[in-house]
Amino acid sequence: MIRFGTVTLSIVFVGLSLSASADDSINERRAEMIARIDTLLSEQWAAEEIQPANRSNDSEFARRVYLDLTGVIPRVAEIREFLEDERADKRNRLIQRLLASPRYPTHLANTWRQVMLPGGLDLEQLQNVAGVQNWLRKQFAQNMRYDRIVSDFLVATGGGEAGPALYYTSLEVKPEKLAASTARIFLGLQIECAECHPHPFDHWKQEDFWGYAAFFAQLEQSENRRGPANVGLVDLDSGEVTLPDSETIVPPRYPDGNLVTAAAGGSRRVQLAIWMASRDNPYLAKAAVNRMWAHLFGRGLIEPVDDIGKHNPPSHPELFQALTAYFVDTGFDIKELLRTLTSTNAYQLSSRLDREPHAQELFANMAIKTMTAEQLYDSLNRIAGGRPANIPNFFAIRSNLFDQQRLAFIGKMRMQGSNATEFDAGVLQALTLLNGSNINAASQADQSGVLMALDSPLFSPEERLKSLFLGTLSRRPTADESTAFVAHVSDSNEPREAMGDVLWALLNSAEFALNH
Amino acid sequence: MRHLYVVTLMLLIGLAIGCKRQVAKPPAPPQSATSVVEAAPDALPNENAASEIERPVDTNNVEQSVADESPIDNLEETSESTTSEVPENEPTVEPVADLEKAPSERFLLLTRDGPLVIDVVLRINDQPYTNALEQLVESVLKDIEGDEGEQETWAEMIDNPKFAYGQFGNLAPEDADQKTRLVDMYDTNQDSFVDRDELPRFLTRNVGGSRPFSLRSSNEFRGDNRTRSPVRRLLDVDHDGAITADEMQSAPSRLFERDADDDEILVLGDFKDSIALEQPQMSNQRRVNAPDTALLIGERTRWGYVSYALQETYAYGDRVAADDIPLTPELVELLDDNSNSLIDNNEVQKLTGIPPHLVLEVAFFNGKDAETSTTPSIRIVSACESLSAALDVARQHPTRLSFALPGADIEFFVNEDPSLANTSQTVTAQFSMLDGDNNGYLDVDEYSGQVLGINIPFEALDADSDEMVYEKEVGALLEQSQAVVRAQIRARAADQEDALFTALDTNGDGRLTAREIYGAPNILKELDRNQDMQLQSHEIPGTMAIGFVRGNAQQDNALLVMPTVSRANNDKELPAWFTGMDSNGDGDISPREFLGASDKFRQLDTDGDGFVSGDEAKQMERNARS
Repeated sequence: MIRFGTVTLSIVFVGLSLSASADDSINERRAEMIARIDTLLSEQWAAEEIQPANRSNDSEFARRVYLDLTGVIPRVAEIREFLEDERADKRNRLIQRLLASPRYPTHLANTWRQVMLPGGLDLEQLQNVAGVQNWLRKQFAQNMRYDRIVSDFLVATGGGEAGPALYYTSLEVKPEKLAASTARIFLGLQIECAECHPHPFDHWKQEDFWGYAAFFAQLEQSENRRGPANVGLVDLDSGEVTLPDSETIVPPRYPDGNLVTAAAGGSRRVQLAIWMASRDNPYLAKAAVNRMWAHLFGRGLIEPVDDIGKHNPPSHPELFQALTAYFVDTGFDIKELLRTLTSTNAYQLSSRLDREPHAQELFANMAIKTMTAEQLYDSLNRIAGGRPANIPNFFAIRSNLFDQQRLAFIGKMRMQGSNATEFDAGVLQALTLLNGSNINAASQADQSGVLMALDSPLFSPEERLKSLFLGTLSRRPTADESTAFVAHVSDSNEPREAMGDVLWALLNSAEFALNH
Repeated sequence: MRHLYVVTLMLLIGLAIGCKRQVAKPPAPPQSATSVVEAAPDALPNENAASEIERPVDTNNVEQSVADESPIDNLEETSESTTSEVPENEPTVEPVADLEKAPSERFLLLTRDGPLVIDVVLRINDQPYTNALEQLVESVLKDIEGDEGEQETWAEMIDNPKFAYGQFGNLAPEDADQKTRLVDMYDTNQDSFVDRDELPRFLTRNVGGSRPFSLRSSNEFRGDNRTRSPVRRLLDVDHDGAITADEMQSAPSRLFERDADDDEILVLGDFKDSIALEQPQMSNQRRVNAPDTALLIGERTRWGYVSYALQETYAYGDRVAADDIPLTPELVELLDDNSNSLIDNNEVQKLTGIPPHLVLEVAFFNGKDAETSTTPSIRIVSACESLSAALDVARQHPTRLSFALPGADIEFFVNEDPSLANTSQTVTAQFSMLDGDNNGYLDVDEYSGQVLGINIPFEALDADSDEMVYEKEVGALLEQSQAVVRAQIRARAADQEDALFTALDTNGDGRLTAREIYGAPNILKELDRNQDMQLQSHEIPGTMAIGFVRGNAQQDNALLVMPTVSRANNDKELPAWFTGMDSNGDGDISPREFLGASDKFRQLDTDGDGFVSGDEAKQMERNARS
């Protein structure tokens, strides 16, 4: 009996030890990668005699990482807690907490959905869009391996996986459209240029494009009497693609140039999915790393992010290679990649510079990014207080894509460009911010939940102002700001309206509307 | 002598067992079966261009047609009962002063542990629900018969500019062939004249069986809403079929993972992963070879089906005994004519005459603007003593109420199309759009031929023929087009999809709030009846919902949505700052919602439960004043 107990204890102890050592190994590997990234960037700054920006202050960092990882600014209570936290590792703790937040997979899904279905929200396809987004969210919530996500995406047949199957129908299940889209999204390759002629800048030929398109040639949408939105896909035994204006059949060919062997089993989509996740595929990991870098830093190591090739080398080749290998070695772990990148000194540099800004590709200061329309709406809503508790629709899932007010706002505010660091706003966007119903609801004394809340006898005028600044700009007011704004409110005959003026001004400031 | 003694004893026992009334005497059972399970609405001639216009449902063949259908089928294609006759006498229109005399509907709700007999007093604008449709029929008859009272033919009526353009939201024929088909469809006695009892079908397009009230029933989740509960599957981490002690403890973190927008509120839709289109929140699916969840009881009820439903639900196809229905065993005695302690097939008809277990009142109102519009309401009027314990802790909101019975949570709610509430705004907006020169009326040049979605010529819209259409005339058209919709109430009864969600929703507002999520481990432990720390699906109470709605029948899936209730909005004494700070409207201020420093939060949270409640906020205000 004693021996049995001893053996059991030993097994438990060994198990715990192994687990602890595995965690240590992950932490060590991450620390090494973080150091490597910062070292490689520093070496280039030194070589170029560049002085990077200072480290961001806590407010800057918190606001940025909240927006990048969860898509929304922090609540007053959340930023207050972070600023008051005196622990040395609080930034790392915050990163971990945000990656564990339920908003993280939502934000990532929203981001990737926009990559997969660009061109804004087509109201007629809204249900399809929500399906794709919800499927993606589930994958990110489970922190599924990225190569597995891509594989599952490629072989989706509908039914319970209605999300990805609906992506296919959005492209009319056409081989050439699917080839162009999947190559761009998952491989970072703009091979659609080779659809009609050899690629002008890269090595892709028509046979390469159509060889890749051939993987999608034996596919059709199945009939489903439950309605057009319950889409299903069927893999067929036949179907080929030909070169345009010719009868020449192009057999399926991987982007690395290899043909599909006779021994390969399964449908063509399965064959492609296997290759996608294999070590023979040099593009998948690179494309993912580049997109995640661009997501955080405003610009990829290769720009445009979906144009990887010899004709377009990375700004930091060694860094790119190391990071790609790291991503593969960590099991295509998106969450781990984001945690690593946000932990670097480079990510935590300030966007403020007291001198002429450097070229963006040097990453010597954090780029100022525009907030996406979704981030702007969700952030406005967070400070305004409340959203409809029940979105008025009868669909079996709840998706904020069905929030009509949100849709209307996004429709007006969506920027046309794909560069996160360029602000392409026009009159419509400006008027929406100045006079839009969301701003009005937030800043008018008789409509605003936050103004009603701050009217409480709990708060002094200084505390009210502080809460407004924390809730909008994620920082405390400076002494000058405090003096000026408090005086504006106290001198007014309508202090709550005056507070509304302050809030309106904060919401219309560049500091609020930008991710810096 | 012994025989006489036994008979006397049986009589005494019968008198003693009868269900005691808890509150006021309920109204009499329905005087006429004016409600039906509806047939499919009539199709517009131009909606079925390639097919025959639907004929009136042949009720003699209903059961057969039901049996031929695929296993899970849309309720649109099922029907059970016949239309009933419209009373020939002039209907009296008087406000109802006494609930006992108010017309009502009766239905049988088949809960897990026994059927409940429920009477519903229905009102529209404080009048008996039957009045609205009767009044509408009267006014249409007056319109077509004129002062001389001459009966009009169907052909004349269809050509009458007061009806020819679908002003009642019904059929607008485009050509002579369609007109012939319409006449054929609605002139049921083929005498060519418009009869009083033919009009309702024309006006309603046979929605709701042309009756003021109809009930549909979905049994899609019957028996499944515990085993297939999405919340249960989420919490059963190891998928062994039971929620264990560890899984109970981890329930809050698992639940919060589904809070996609991180607003500390979860609704049922948050637990669904894949998009399931055309699947309404309240199921409209029906499995053909399984009994319905609720059955209308009245003069034209299909008693054979009622008997079948009771036997299948409670006695595996055998006759029902008291042991089979532990919730309402007295029903056996009340129905048992031949004293065999079983409910025989011919005894179910007595359901029309026995006292109900529960009486509800459902009220709808007709308003025109935000000031005069009143939201519909539902309330408990009276209940049987055996339900009193459950009703003492019923969760009552103006538009929904719920209570827990052994084995089942029951939820009732009301809802209606919002466009019925604020018609003056709709009219003003529409008129302003058309009145291009802003002179207060439309002339023929400004009019495009369509208003409020109705294609109607200027002449027909211009009621006083002064060649000017004023806003009031547009308003009259809207009122006319909504008259039918306002005159009908439809109900749907269904087992809810997720029994565990309902059990965790302790305040019955259709949402899981942060307080309820953190309280989930305790609820799960309470549900574990045998306290073996293995919550099995059979220990989770079932959940049923019955919704009463008014609006366009095509919007039923959108209307039959459980209204969520903001606790904060119902308490007018709450300080405004509390309501403003409670950004998700769940009735509490959580630490994340609080705008002040954490020490101030702790001061307010006097009971230390991690939330600032409305009561704590009110206490703070009182302390500040004193």
